[in-house]
Amino acid sequence: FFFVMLRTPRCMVGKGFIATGKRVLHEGNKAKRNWYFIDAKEQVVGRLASQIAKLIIGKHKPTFDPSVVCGDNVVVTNAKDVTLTRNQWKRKLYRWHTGYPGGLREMPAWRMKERFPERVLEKAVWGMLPKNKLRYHRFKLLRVYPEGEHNHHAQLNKAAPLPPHFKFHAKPKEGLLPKDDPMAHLREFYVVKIQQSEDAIRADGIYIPSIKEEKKREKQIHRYVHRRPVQVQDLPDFGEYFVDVHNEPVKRPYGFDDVDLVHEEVAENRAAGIEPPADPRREEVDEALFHKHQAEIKENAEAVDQDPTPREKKNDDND
Amino acid sequence: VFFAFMVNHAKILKLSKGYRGAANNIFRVSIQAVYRAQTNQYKDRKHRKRSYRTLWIARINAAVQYYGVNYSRFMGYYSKLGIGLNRKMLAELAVSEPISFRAIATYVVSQFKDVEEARLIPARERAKLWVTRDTLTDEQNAMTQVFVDALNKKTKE
Repeated sequence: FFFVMLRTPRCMVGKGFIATGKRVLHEGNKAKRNWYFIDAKEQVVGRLASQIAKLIIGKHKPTFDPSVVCGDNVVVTNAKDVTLTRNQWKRKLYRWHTGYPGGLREMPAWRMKERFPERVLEKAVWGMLPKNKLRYHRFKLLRVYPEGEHNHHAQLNKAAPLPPHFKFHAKPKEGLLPKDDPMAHLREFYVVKIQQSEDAIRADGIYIPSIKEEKKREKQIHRYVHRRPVQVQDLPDFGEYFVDVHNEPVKRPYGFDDVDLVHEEVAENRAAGIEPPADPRREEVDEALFHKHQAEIKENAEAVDQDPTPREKKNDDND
Repeated sequence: VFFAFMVNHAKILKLSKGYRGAANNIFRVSIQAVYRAQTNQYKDRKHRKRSYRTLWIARINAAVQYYGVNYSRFMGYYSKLGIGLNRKMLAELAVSEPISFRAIATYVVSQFKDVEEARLIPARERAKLWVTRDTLTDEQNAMTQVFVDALNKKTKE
């Protein structure tokens, strides 16, 4: 990392929600973090960096909250193949001061690419983040790798397709994409299958997970399934541009007679003499059993009242 | 409370609870901090309204991008349609009622589909459309046809 953070900001010291009793605006700190995998080959530095900064700040989410780190993780590969227009490789100077008198240093972009190829992109994104206490922590969501290899194969199952208005990921020409490319799976958005079937694993004889690992996988699936965001249903064609809510067909998978039925339908059914079907979820209460249980309780209460000191029988031998 | 000044000082010192050092104890120091705090409170009651509005706008912008527009164009169309919801409610819908928000957004965008398509046409062709508007009289239309023909000739060449 090309600089040192001097002090952790107060907002990041606590864990999870801001527990001050103040109203929190939706998800905030606990927003789901996606992983985006981006190939920076032949992308212009600044244009790419502005899109990455947007993802890292979280401005593509309607649950954006500027007081909290709510962005997504971004992994960028092939950062050494990034482009700068015109003469910038020769003319663009990275400047810094060492603190000593006469310590102003300059480095042209081509030299930065030789020594630290990933910093060209990193500095661009760093400069595009809002300059506040969260800048350092937002920048940590970005991982830049100069070559095609990255360490995040375990997060590929959380990889998400880029939002449709982020269009910088132009496909390279076919001549540049050999079939043996190890990063071919990043060219198209891709989700790893979480678990193969047991028979397939055992037939191959390659890998048989232990019971502990299987339970772990089940937990992962359970978590993944139940944290899915709301799926927007396929709405019918709006026709001339408006939804006719009242004439849509109503789906009624359950058979309750007192919930969500339109009054007209109820009247129609009654007039026709149709009774609503019996609800399978309701259990019939056995009244005889109930009264018997109540009588037992009363008997026990009377027994307790007759014996005023039932707890005096204690053994004092344990002292 | 023995003297009259204690009543007034107590009011200020009560407001300065939690301040650092002498500012929560000593009247002469705390009055300065309390002045600043009160003026900031007054200011920020006005700022609060602005900052919430910027938040709502940022959220609507993010949500509306998925429908092919940005906030500025969306609001331009939205205000012409007469749906009465304010930005606060639109942002709430975008987060917690995505289906309703989708209905609103698709309705708004579809009402102005022709405007959006016209934006994609390059400027020269857009000029041709502009020239043949219905608001012109027949004479004016006939006059402008001359220019349209000239433009067509240029593009062909």
